[in-house]
Amino acid sequence: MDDLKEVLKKQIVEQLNLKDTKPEDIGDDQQLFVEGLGLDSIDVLELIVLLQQEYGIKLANAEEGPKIFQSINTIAAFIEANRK
Amino acid sequence: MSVYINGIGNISAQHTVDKCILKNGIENISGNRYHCIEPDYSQFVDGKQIRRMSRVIKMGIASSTLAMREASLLSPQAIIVGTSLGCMEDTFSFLSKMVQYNEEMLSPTAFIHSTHNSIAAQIALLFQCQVYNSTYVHRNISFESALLDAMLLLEEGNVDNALIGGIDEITNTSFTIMNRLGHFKESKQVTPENFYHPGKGSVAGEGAAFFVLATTQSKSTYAKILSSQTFSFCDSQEIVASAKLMLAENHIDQLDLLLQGNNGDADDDAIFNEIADSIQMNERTLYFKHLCGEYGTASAFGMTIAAELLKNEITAKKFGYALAEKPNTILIYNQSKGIHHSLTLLAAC
Amino acid sequence: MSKPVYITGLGLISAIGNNVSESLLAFEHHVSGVAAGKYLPTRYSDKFPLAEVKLSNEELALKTGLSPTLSRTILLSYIAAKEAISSFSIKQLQEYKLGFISANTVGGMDKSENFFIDYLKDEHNGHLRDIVNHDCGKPTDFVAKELGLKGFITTISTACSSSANAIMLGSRMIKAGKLDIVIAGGVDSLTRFTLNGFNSLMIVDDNQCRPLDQTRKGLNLGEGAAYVVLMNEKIAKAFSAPIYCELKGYCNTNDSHHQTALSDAGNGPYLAMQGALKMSNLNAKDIDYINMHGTGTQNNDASEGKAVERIFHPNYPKLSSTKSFTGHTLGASGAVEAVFSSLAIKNGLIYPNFNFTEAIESLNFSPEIKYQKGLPIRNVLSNSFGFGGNCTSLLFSKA
Repeated sequence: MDDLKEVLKKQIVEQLNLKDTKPEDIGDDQQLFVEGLGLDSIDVLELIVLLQQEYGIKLANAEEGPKIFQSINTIAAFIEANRK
Repeated sequence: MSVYINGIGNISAQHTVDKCILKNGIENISGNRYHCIEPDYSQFVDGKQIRRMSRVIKMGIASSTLAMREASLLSPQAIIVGTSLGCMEDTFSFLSKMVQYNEEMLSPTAFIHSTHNSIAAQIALLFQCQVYNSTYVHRNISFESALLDAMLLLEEGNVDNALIGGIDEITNTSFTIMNRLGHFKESKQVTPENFYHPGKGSVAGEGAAFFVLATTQSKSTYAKILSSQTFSFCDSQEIVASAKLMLAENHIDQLDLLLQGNNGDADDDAIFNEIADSIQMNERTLYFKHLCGEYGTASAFGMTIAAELLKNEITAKKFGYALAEKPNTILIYNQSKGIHHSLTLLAAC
Repeated sequence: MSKPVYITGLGLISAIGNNVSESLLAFEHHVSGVAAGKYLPTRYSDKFPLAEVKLSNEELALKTGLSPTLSRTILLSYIAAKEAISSFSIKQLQEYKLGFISANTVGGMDKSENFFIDYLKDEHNGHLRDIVNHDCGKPTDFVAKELGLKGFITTISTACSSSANAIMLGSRMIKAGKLDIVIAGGVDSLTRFTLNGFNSLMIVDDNQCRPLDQTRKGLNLGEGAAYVVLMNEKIAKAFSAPIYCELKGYCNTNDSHHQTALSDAGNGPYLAMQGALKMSNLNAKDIDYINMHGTGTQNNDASEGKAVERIFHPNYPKLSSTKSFTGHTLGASGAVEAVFSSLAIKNGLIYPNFNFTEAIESLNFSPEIKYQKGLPIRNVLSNSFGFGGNCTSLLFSKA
């Protein structure tokens, strides 16, 4: 699980082109949207593509996104639960 | 009503970002592809906003910011952009992924910014402008269409300033394809000395030139725009007649300078030379595309040169032009393949 | 008061018909043009219904006498522009200061997509004839040249409000005395590029779209072209032209909120509608019908609905989204709906919203669901909003 989180942080920084953020700077529990890392609705769509590309998990509805992508912890948990 | 150029932001193959083309003279370029000399974009947009922007959008943001800074304008009353090919990098990026991944797993960012109006939109977003916003995409008269719209807006009297720009980028893909279409000379053929040596094709260029236009003169004013017109599918005689009419309507008996878009392509230059001949301006004609290369909105770069020449006594020499004295009137003529033509008349203030 | 500008010609091709009269019949018979994809070669043919023009490129070529190797965008544009000027002779038009202002967002992308399949394997591959139509100016140039529309020519591309802005510019140039006659409108053809783009934004409905409906899930992409002929009074008289309506007001604003989404309060849409009303010297109560942008996405319909509420509550005019019939024709949609709006005034028509079941909870109005004709329609607002927050409202009035 910890390995997954480290990998996830790297993937997120790369996918979202977060040039000023180092993967290790992202806290496991840090809010990713608005007040936290400041991600927005387009990032939700980018993260959905990331889940599909890297983990084979397909999200049918973008509205599920914000709940799943709250923090590194919630994303990792979702991947663990849905990974085939 | 007069229309003044009160601010310019210019990213080009020359040192135009901080106007040091005036101090350092021109950058001599050889080869068949010009690259812009670009600023550090982080001084114009913060990291969070910049991360999704392709190069052309950053060029647009930076040059519009520079133009507004110079004109001491915080928020323009209209934003109008001309771009002949729009956001090529994002377009080709999305297109390539779509083909490679067989229409699956596509992320939206490149698509979102592939729309032609995303440069004008990002400027509006950055400066929070809820005002008139448009984008013209008509080949080599894209910039003049934007200029014409802005002059119309100012004439209508609902606004007293407008931010306009001409912007295009060249990417590896667009260069390769246009090269296959025969648009460019062979790289080794081109040197600064023989740029205008007649051949087949020109040299690929790119650039972003933004202007703050206003109905009132200010400390930063460069020049005033007396008239601008585009012509499509017409012969040289019509252009000559229109140029003469434009001069007459503005009470100009003797034009000081004709600034033309000659580009080294024999067919194009034959048309340019015919016009210069016909309005007896052969002796007083200068070119600008050896400085910026050929692209759909190169005439916007041409207008920055015209504005500088009209404002600054010292500029002419620094641009490599042997002008006896500072011109007071300049007519810019541009065309491509004899299809679309544009005439823009400027005067010193 | 500036001199009025009239609409004296209409041309249209879309999923519900190859000309204006066929399109009206589709509304009357309540037949939507949205169906399983047949012509666009995409892996999503079975997944996403499309509002395709019901002719292949070969059939379009046959119909026009043009080459099938041209982009679909060119073929569609040619058909609609030709219909718009069909009651005039080109020779007669050419005696005046003429303008052709067209709009599109895709250019020749339908052909560029094919070019890229080969090009990506090797950069020396790909038929060059498939890439020469790439840029947005090409369809405008081709049609202008083919139809003899010589004079002022330009192309606008502001996403989904493109052709509304083309009509706006045409009217402004006539009012300023720079042009006498303008053929203005726009075109877009369906491409894999746009379908995949909107799919990546997850706003394409895999069923028939349901604009202005609580159960809406997204848009259906469509294609088409539409043009109007604009003239001032003197010229319209000289031509004894049929006057459909007056283009009385227009306004373009920017929502400046987000690259693809509109603000919750509908600020851009609000300002655009208010601007058009103000220019026309009309009040909200004077509006008889609103042709909504109504794409069927969560965001657009909520934002546009909010803006309508801010201006019209509690007295809402009749309103509907014709995109439930034509799909979202992107750059063409403003002109397609300008044609519908002109006919609404001329023939007293109200267009139905196809497939409507449930009003949007947060809003206090429902769209019309029945085709109505012979009503006294005096003033019609038509909304077109696009990416980059580009918002335009056009206001048409009885002449």
